[in-house]
Amino acid sequence: MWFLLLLILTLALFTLPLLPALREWRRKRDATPLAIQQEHTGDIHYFAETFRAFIEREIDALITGKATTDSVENYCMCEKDCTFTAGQDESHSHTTQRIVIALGKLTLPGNLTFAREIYGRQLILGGDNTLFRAILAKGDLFLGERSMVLRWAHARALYAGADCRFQGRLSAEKRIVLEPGCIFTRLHAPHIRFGLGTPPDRQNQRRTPGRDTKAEGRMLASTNLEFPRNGTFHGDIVAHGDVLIHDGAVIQGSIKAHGALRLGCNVTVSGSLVCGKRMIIAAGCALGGPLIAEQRIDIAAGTVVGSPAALTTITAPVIRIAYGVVAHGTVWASRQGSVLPPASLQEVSSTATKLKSATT
Amino acid sequence: MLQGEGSWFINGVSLALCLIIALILFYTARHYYFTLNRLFGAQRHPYLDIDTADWPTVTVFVAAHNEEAVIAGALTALLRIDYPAEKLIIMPVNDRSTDRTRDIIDDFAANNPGRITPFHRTGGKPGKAAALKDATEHVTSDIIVVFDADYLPSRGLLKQLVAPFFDPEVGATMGRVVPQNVGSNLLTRLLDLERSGGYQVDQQARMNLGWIPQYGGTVGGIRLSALKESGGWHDDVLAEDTDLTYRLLLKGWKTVYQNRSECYEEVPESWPVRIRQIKRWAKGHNQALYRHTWKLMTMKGLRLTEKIDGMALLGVYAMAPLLIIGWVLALLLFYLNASPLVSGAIILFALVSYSTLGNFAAFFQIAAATYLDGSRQRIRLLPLNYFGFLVSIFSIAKATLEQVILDRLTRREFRWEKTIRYRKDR
Repeated sequence: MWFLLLLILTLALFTLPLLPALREWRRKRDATPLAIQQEHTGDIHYFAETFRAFIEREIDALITGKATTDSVENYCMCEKDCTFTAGQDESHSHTTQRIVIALGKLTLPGNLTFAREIYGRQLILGGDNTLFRAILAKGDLFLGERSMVLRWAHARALYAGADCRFQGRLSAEKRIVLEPGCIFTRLHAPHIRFGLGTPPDRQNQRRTPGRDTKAEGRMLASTNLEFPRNGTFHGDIVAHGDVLIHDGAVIQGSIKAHGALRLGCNVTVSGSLVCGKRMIIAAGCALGGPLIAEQRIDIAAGTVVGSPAALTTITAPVIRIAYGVVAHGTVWASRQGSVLPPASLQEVSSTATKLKSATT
Repeated sequence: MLQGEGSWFINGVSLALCLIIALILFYTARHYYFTLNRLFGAQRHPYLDIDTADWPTVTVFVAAHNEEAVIAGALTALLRIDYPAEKLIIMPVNDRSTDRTRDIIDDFAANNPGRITPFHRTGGKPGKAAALKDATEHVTSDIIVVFDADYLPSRGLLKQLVAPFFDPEVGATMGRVVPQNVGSNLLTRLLDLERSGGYQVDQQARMNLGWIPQYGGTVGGIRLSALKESGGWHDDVLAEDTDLTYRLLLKGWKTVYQNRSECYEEVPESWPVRIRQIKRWAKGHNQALYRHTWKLMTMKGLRLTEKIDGMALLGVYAMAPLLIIGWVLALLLFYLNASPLVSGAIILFALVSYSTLGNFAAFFQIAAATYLDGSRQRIRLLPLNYFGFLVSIFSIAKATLEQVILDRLTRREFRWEKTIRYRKDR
């Protein structure tokens, strides 16, 4: 009797911790495969395209007087060129809760918050110091100084005045121009210009012919690596330490540095640049891309990344780009990207020069 | 208590036990370190945000041996994938199929001119590695991505697997495989937890730390020039993926793990299949341990932490027989009435044996992995994994014993066996 009781108690003691497991095994409350988004491609235009499809349906409904998915009072639609005028309450609160739709040119006042989306079939002109949730223009889009976009903006061509802040995606079919002081996270366009400054014409730059350092192959360095001024290399470079490429060098390949990667002025790299720390690119470089850094990328004026025929990506947690840089493709700063004002133009180049002189 | 002549025996056994305990403690610390890194450390996904690039030409292998039930699904998914069509060569590698696999592939090729380049293999050595080896002769691109025929790659997967190759140091990339047949039975649910720990924590932690993530043979890419430099595909090894990871490493090529590049796979639904699978993995790892240990430890240009991690990864299956040996030694010492110092070690061993069975299946990591995956209820099954690990330990120990003694005595060669498919159609 006592033995049986001991046996039962022992078994119960053993089974007790397993009860939640046994229950879950039998009930199968969490027995489905982990979800994988089969259709997700990370397309930057996704939100804009989804909104465009939605709003075009809404426009048809508004014009024909059929029911829309939202209340008609929540829309402000003008079928010709117009200037948005805030209502009394809206002027008082500096906020509008209406979706703004314009079939012609749209002009928006400054110092206002657009809490819902804006859609324009043609040009949209934004005022200064305006806050947008999301904005889609089939024509060009001009955002005034100190404007802010919380989610996304898409246009045929997009121009943002100084000191704008973009928390989400910014994309354009043709070009994006960001003036100094702008803060961004993700940009995409065939042509992205940081400031309207003209990049130097590299064709006219005189370059002292250098000797071929090595032809073909992969150069592996177990420590720091320094590449000579005006040197030429055909192949990839991989270094376990820092890499310094001196002015005027031409690399027909890609470069990887486990540490920092520094490029002097007027360096040409046909392939990608990858580094585990900080990437500093001095003025006037021509880079094929992608550019990938695990800490920060600084790019000085006059540098061109990618080309219209071969779009590429610049990606790092922090990206600082000087006035006068041109990028083709995507610029993606997971924490923060910024356009340096003209006054700070020398910073990147001088940093590169200091580092260069310290190592030479 | 043994004295005099007998004491050397006790000392020897005690020393052996202490060494085993040290190894187990090392693996325990390693698992904790990985888990804490995933929970609180900086996460590395350096190539994830490359969404625009001049994408290189890629050949996608779809390994297929009698896959009439699933091959159409894989090809359909690949035709829809987000990658420039002119830079994508889809090459189904039909390895001696005797069912309708060939006809299905040819139909797809005819209906999608220029998109699919079939490779039909009618003879030669059986096995995936041998088939890929032959197919590689026909590859014109520098990047190869490998899928199994039952995989359904998502639209964005290929770019994610190719993006790391812009790094000139990367020789291979590896995505995450996610069990699809989770709900079939208890075994599949336990394996789902195990896989979660292995990928979500173990692989990603090694990626975070810049150590050695492992190429897994499927849902992964290879740089052809790196493959050739490393000796090409080896069809005589039991775990080609592990072997290749180390061969690449020894030639200065890194493997990159992309945790967010996910693809469904099937896991074994019966214990005999599971035991066969884990025995093959164990033998393969042990073979790689034997082949690459010395080269790894003496390799220049590799950090000490990478070497230690590489050794730990290679030795993970060797721990199972060592643990069993440790149990035997501990019992032996207990009955021999060993010194108090050793008795303390025995108690410690008992503790770590109980709590670190998961050394062989990332036991501690599973809880963190399910948390990171956002799953909540399935973690309740964790105690049952204890029994799964017991099966694994004895299977691995048996495989190791076979490999060390029987396979050598009988000169038995590895026989390739096709993985069982549980899904009948798509």
